[in-house]
Amino acid sequence: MPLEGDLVRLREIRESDLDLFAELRNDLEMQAWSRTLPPDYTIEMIRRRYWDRDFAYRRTDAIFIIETKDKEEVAGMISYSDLVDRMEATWGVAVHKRFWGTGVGHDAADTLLHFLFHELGLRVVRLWTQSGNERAVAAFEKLGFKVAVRAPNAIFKGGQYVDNLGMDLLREEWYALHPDLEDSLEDPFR
Amino acid sequence: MPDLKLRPIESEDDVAAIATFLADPSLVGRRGLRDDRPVPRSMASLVRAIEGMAEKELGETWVVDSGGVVGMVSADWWWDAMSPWVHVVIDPQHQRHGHGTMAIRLVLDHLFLNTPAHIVQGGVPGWDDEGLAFAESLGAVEMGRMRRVGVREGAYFDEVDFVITRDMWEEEHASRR
Repeated sequence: MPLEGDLVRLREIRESDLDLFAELRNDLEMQAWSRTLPPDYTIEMIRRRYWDRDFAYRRTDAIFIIETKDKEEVAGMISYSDLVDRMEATWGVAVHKRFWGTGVGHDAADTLLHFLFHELGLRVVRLWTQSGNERAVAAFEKLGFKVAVRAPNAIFKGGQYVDNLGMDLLREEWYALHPDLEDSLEDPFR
Repeated sequence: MPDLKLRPIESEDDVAAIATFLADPSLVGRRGLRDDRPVPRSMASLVRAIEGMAEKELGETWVVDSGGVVGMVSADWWWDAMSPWVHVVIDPQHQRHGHGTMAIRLVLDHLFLNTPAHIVQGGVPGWDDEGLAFAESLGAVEMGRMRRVGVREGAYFDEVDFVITRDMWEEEHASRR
């Protein structure tokens, strides 16, 4: 069963999704990477990037396709990495601009957070973004994230300096936003 | 200030000397090794970690040499050459002689004079009072705290991140001339 949100499901990558990955990477607005990437990614480059992953029971990263539940349209990708067992992970998301402002990105992110906190039992989840992307910062704050670190003028993008922002969300903060869920994981360190 | 230079890790003796002082229990959790776990580590594993750092592509690791190995300093610009991270660790036997301050100044001079660095960043565990005081003594400005980066002695701790901007360095550099 894929991860199910209200609007989207998060599922594994399929061959037919590679076009979307290239499209996301090759659009300066959508590539969701603080340091601008050259928009020349080929499908073959994407295939090698994601098809070389090996099966393992212990994983420190994952990547999902965001698929809408109503029309089964591919809306973007969402991933986590640098997972430290039962402690933390860092995540990122790229949503196709056709779906900006539709709630798809928020639902995909909260679905991933549900997986990270409620299934994997993490204590904190982090992300990196940049201050020039005000829409993204506002979206992350709506999910409960707080700016933890602001590196001033750390990034040059779009012809200007912007701050690099590290944001984090603690386990109890996420559960407080989801009163319908009970957190039964004990925390001996608080 | 001590007579001190930064030089490449050149020999097995250098690696062994660094590994020997990094094995000191007082440095657990602040050795500055990549993906380091905050536990005592064997000499063999420390040697492997140091050798890995000596060969990194987007950064430098140097011996802090004051007539002998007294520390190790590293700069990492994997993410962006404009905003590298630095870390210095001094042999506990040679601490409190100004080696750390001198080593950091040399690294900052190198990064701001010879690379596109616009800011230089560093992180210190929230429990490391000496490290925090050292960062403040350099004039580094706190840019935030990553919460819950680890667990130590029964409690979560944060990482305090600091920044030195090119403007700050230029002012300090001019005052030295």
